[in-house]
Amino acid sequence: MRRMLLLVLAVIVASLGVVTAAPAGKVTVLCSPNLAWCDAVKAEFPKATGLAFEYVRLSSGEALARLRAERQNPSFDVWFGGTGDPHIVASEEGLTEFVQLKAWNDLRPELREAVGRKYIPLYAGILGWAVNEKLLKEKGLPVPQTWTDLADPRYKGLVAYPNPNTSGTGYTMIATIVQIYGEAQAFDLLKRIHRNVAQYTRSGAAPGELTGRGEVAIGVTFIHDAVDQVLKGFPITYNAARNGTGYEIGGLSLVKATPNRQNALAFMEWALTPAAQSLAGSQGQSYQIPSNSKTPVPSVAPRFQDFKVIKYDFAKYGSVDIRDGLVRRWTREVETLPK
Amino acid sequence: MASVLTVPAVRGAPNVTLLWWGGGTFAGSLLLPWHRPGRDIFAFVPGTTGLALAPSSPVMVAVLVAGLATVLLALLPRPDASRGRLAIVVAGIGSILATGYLVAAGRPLSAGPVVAILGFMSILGTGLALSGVLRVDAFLGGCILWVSVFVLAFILYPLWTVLQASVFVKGRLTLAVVVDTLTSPGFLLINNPGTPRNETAIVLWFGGFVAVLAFAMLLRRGIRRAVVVGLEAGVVGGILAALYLGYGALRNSVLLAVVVGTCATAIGFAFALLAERSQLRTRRLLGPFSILPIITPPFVLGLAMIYMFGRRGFVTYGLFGLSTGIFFGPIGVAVAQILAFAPIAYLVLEGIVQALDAALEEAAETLGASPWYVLRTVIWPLARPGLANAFLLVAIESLADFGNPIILGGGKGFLATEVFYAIIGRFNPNEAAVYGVVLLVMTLSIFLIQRYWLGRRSYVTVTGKPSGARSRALPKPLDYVVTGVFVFWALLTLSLYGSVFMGSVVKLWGFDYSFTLAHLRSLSPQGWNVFWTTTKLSAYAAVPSTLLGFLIGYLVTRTQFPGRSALEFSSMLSFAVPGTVMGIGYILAFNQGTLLLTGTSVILILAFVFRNMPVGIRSGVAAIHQIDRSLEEASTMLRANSALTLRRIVMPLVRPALLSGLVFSFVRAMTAVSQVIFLISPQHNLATTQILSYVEYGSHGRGAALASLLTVFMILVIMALYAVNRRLDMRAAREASIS
Amino acid sequence: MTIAQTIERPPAVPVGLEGVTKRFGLVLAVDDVTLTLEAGKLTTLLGPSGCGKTTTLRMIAGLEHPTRGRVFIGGEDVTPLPASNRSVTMVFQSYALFPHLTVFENVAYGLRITKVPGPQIREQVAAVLDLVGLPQVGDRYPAQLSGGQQQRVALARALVMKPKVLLFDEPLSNLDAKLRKRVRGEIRDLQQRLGITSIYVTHDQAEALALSDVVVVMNQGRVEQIGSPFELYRTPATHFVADFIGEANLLPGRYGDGIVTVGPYTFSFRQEGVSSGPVTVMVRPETVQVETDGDGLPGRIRTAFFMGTTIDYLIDTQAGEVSVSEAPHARGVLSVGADVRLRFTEAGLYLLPGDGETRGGSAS
Repeated sequence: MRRMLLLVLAVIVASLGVVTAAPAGKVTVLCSPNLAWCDAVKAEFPKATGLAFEYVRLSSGEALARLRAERQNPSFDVWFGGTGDPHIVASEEGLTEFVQLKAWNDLRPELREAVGRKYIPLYAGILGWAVNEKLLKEKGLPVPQTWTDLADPRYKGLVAYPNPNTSGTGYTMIATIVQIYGEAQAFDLLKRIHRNVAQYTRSGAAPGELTGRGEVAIGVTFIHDAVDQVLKGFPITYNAARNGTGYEIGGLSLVKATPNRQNALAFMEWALTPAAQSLAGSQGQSYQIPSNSKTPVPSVAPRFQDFKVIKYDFAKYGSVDIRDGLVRRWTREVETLPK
Repeated sequence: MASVLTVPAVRGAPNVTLLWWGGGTFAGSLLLPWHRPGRDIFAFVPGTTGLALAPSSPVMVAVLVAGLATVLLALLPRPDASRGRLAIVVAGIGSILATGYLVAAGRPLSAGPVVAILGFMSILGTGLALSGVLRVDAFLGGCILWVSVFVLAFILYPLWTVLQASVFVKGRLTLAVVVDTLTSPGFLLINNPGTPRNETAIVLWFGGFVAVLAFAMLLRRGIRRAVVVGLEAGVVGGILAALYLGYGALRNSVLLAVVVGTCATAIGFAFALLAERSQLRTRRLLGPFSILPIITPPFVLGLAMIYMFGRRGFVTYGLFGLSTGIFFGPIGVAVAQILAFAPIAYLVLEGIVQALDAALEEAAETLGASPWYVLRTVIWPLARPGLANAFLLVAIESLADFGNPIILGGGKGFLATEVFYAIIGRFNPNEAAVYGVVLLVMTLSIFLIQRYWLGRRSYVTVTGKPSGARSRALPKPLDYVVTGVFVFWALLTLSLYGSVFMGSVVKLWGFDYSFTLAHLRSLSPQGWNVFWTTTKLSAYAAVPSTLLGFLIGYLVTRTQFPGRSALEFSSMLSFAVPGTVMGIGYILAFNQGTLLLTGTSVILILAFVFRNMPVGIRSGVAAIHQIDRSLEEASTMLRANSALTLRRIVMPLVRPALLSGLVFSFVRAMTAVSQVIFLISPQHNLATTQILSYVEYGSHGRGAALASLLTVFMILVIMALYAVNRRLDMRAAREASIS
Repeated sequence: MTIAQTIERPPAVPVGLEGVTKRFGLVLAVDDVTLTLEAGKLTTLLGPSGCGKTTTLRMIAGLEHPTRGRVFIGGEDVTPLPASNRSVTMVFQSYALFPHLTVFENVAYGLRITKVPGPQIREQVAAVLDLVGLPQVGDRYPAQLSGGQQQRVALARALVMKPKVLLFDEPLSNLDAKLRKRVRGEIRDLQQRLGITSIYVTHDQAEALALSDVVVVMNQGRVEQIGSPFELYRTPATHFVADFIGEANLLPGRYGDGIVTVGPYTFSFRQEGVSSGPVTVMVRPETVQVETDGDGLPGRIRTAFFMGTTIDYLIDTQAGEVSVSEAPHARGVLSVGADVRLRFTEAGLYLLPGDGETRGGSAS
C-alpha cells in the first residue's frame, strides 16, 4: 500500500514539476493591442534582444482588472498597449510606474504633453465606426454622421460597441460622448443608443469584425482597427462623428512590483525603437500613429487632420474615480436597461 | 513492502507503519523547504527548511518534536490501543501546530508543510485504527484523513471564501455589496421604466390570482391544504410571470435554465426511448451523435450557430436570404445549449428507460389499461426521479455555461457573464462573490429539493445492471416521429460541427468561401503551444482525479466512519456547484498568502482534479456496487490488508470503469471553460479560453481552426477508449458472469 | 507426497466467545453469547435466518467487531485483531472466488500475501487441489467451473492457509439438492481427516445434523441449546429446539409420579428432573402409533397423504392437532374422517416444562 501512496504522491509531485518558474531571460507582458501585433512582437523581440517573450492578450479594461487582482503578486512585468485611461488608473493606484526611457525625447511632444508623466505613449488612434454600407443599403438607411445618429430607432439591432468594463475602446467612446455632451445628456444618449445595440463586445476591435461580417451595420471601434478590416477584404467603410470624436494614446507601463525589472526595462526600451514600432504596421495589422516621431507612419493610418478630434482630457478621464464611476454608471443604467 | 503498513499481530513489537510515517514526517519537515518565493513552486530555498527555521521558531521545533515523538512511539513496546491513542495526540498537536505556523507566516508554502501535514494525517489515521476509534485499518484510516484534507482545502475552503467575500469587504462585515448587487437592475428588474405598464403590479396580481384560484379549487379538500397549496401556486405563478415579464441576469439565467432544462430533458427522454425501444436502424447513430457535444466545449455550438444562423449565416442568409439577428440573443443561446446538453439528459435517462421493466407495462395492459394510462400510471412515476435528475444536471450546466451567452448573448446579462465581467472586467471580487452565492444558493436548493424528492420516491435504483428486462417496441407512429426528431437533430449537429470545420479552412465565412490553410497555419506557434499545455495539464489532472474519485467512492460505499456522508456530499458538491462559482472560489482562496497558487499550472491542475473527481466517484461507486462484497472479505481472510485488497482485487475488477473515468476526466478537463477562465496565466493558457479569445477578438478563422483541432483530438481519444474498453469488457463480461 | 506432509495439521485449538453482543443500530443481532467450541471438532451454528448465527461467525472471523464481549482463539483474546491477523479462513456462501484470477492464483493468493516462496506455493497449491479432488483445473478461471467445483476451490483456498480455525458460511446453499448431499459428505470427510476446528453456519437442520460433531442452535440472537445432533433431536431443551430440529408435536399435558396425561390419554413415562405439574409433551411424528382402537389418545383423521416411504396423517385430538408419519402399514392408508387412537412410544417422547404454548414454534 505504501507503493500506492507513493504513486499518488509521485503523480502529485510530477504535477508540481510542470510549473515553470519565471527564469531570467524572459519578459512576461500583458498585451492589449490586437493579436497579430502581439504575435509579431513575440517573433521579433527575442531576435533583437535574446530575451524570451510571453504574453496574454487582454483588452485594456481586463488588463487593469488583472493588475488589480495581482497587486501583491504580479505575474506580469510590462503592460504593452491598450487605451491610455486604464494606464493612468493603474499608475494612480500604484500598480504601474512611470519610467524615463532613453527614447523619451524622440516621442511626439503632443502625446507626451497630453499624457503627463503617467505612462509612456506608444501610439495614437482615432475613435470612429466601421460601417457596412451594403447592409445599410438593404435596409435603406443612411450612413450615420454624428453620435446622436446612432440613437436613431431605425438602426435598431444594427449597432455594436465594446463593453467599457472590459474594453478601453468602449470607455474611450463613453468618455468622448461625456466630454461632448456633458454627463447627464451623454447618458441619456447612451440609453437611447442602447435600444439599437445588438451586442456589447469584449474587445475594442470586435465591433469592426462584426460589421465586416455583416452581423451589425455600425460598429464603434478605433478607425485603425476598421482600416485593418478593410485591408483584410471586408466590404466596409469607416467614418467618425462629424460633431467630434475622441482618440486614444496607447500606453506602455512598467508593472511596479515586478521582480523582473531589468528585463522589463529592456523590453520597454526596445518597444519604443522605430524598428519595433514599425512592426505594428508591417506585421501587426495595426495602423495607429506610432509615438516615436522617427518611426514612419503607415501609409494607410488614419490621420488626425482628417477628422474632427476633440481635446480629450486624459488626466480627468483617466482618474480612478471618474473612470470607475462612469463605467459603473454605464453598467447600472445603460447596459441593464431593457430594450 | 506491503507488510510495512500491516498492524503487527504481536502486541508491543515496534509498529512499522508509525515508524515509517513518523520518520518521513520528521525528515520531510526538517529537510524540505517550508516556503517559496512567489509563484515559483519548485524553488528550493535552503533558508526555509525546518532545520534552518527551528532556531528562530519554537513552533517549528514543536512540529519537529512531534515527528520525532512518533518515531519513539513506534519503537517503544506498548499495547496497540494505548500506542494508537498517543499517536492521535501527537499527530493532532503536530498538524495543528504546522497549520498554525503556516497561517501565521503567511508566505507561500512549499513541499515541507505538504509532507508534514499529510504525514501527520497518516499518523493520525494509523492512531485511529490502532486505538480502535475507527474500525478500519491504518491504510484506510490514512486515506480517509488525506481525502478529508483535500476536500476541505480544495472544495470547501474555496466555497467558503466565496461566501465570505460576499459580506466581508476590505476586512469589514457589511451587507452593502450584497444589497447593492441584488438591487441592481442588471441583476433583476421587473418594472421596465420604458413601458407604460407596471410589470411589478402585473406580477403581483397574477400571483394573487393564481393563489386564489388554487385556493378555491382545493377548498373542498380542506382549508389547510387549500391555504398551503394556494400559497405555493401563487408563488410559482408570480415567479413565472416575473420570468416572462422581467429583465436582468437572474431572470435571463433562470428562464434559460428552465427552458433548456425542460427541452433538453424532453429530447433526452425521447432519445432514450429511441435507443432502447426503436426498431429502426437509425438508433445505432445515437451513440456517436450524443457523445459529440459532450466531448467538445459547449460554446463550439454557439460559434457554429453564428456561422449557420447569424445575420450572414449560411442557412439564414446564404440559403434563405434572411438578414436576421434573432439568433443573436437568448433564443440563440437556448438553441445552442439545448443541442449541447440534450446528450447529458440522454445519458442519464438511458439507464432509467433500460431499467423500466416491460413486465410492469405488460401487467398493466393485461389489467386493461390503455397505453396512455400506462404511461401516466406506470412509466411516468418510474421515470420521474430520472427526469428530475436529468433536468437538474442540465439546468446546472446551463447556469454555469458562459461561453454561449458571451458569444451569442447579444449583450444580455446572464449570471455567469456578470460574474465574468465582475472579475475579468472590473476585478470586483465582492460583487462576483455575491453573484456566486446566488448561483450557489440556487443550485444547492434545487439539489437538496431533488435529493429529498428522490430520497422519498425513488422506485428504480439504477444499479448499472439491467434487470434482464426485455425491451418493448415503441408503437410504430411514435417510433417514426421520434426518429424524425432525432434525424433532424443529428443533421443539425452535423452541419453545425461541419461549419466549424469548414470555417477553419475557408478564408472568410460568409464572404469568401475559398479554401485556405492560413488559419490552421496561423495556429503555430501559439495555438499549438496552448493546445499542448492543455493536453499536458489535463493528462496530469486525470490520474489523481480518477484515483481520488475512486478512493472516495470506495470509502463511502465500503467503510463506516463518522462524517462519511458529509465527505460524500462535499465531494459531490464540486460537481453540483456551477464551475463559475468554483472558479471565483479558487481565485479568491488561492490568490495570496500561504496558499498562493494563482498564475501557476498547479491551480489549473487542482481545479481539474477536484472539478472532475465526482466523475471518478460516480463510476467508482457504480463499479464497486457490482462487486460482491465477500470477494474483499475473502481477501482479508487470506491475510491481505485493505491496501492489498484494493490493489489486487478491487482495482483489477473495476478496471474498465477506472479507464472510462480516466478518459472522461481528461476530456472534461480539455473542454472545461467556466471554472478555469479565471485561472489561466501567460504560461498556462488553455485551448478553450484561447478559442473564446480568438472569437472575441475577432479571429474567427483561428478560433474555428483551434476548435476543430480540439474536436478531432477528442473524437480520437474517445474512439481509442472504446477500442480498448471493448477488449477489456469482453474479459470483464466473462469474469462478471459468475457473480 | 502425502496429504499429511503438505497440509500438516496445525495443533487444533478451541474457540471461545465470552458475553459477545452485537448491535446494528437498534437491532440486537447477537445478545450476550458465551460459548466454547471444542478443538478439532466441527461445530454448526444453526438457526432460522436473522437468528444471529452469521453475525457470530463473522465476529469470530473478525469481519464484524462485537459491541461488547470478547473472542478467543486458542486461548488468545483476538477481539482487537483485524480479520487478516487471526489465522482464520472462511468459505463463503458465494464462494467469493476472485473472477480475474485463475484457480491456481486464487488458491495461491493468501500464500503470496504471506510471502511464501514460489516453489513452495506451487507445491502446496497442487497438493491442496489434489486434496479437494480438482488436480487439473489450475489454469482455468472460476467462471469456467461448475458450482460444485467452485465450491471445492473455495475450500482449497481456505485450507491451503493452514488456518487455526476454518469457517463455513452456508457454503452449500447455492448448490442443487443432490450435489449438496455429496459435497457435505466430502466436507465432513476432509474435516475429520485434517482435524481442523471448524465452524459451520447453516439454516438447514438436516445439513447440520448430518455434518456436525456439535450443533449450536440459535434463536433471536441467543443460544438455545448446544449438543450433539442426537441430543438435540432426542432431548431438546426448549420448545424452539424441539420444533426446529426435525418435526415435533408439542402437546399440553400433565406430569406426576411417572404418569403423563394428555387429554384423556394417560400413559406411564418417567423422566428425570421434571417436577409434577403441567408440561409440554413433545412427540416425534414418526414414533406415534396409529391404532383403530385401544386406550390411546382419541382423534379423527383430517388429512392423509401417501408419501411413498411414509404415510402422513394430520389428526385432530382433544389435545390439539397431531402430525403422524407412519411407516407403510399392512392395513394401507386410513381414510379421512376415520376415528383412531394414538399411542406414544418412549423413543420419541420428551417432556418440556410449561404448558403447550410453543415458544418460537412458528419457525420450521
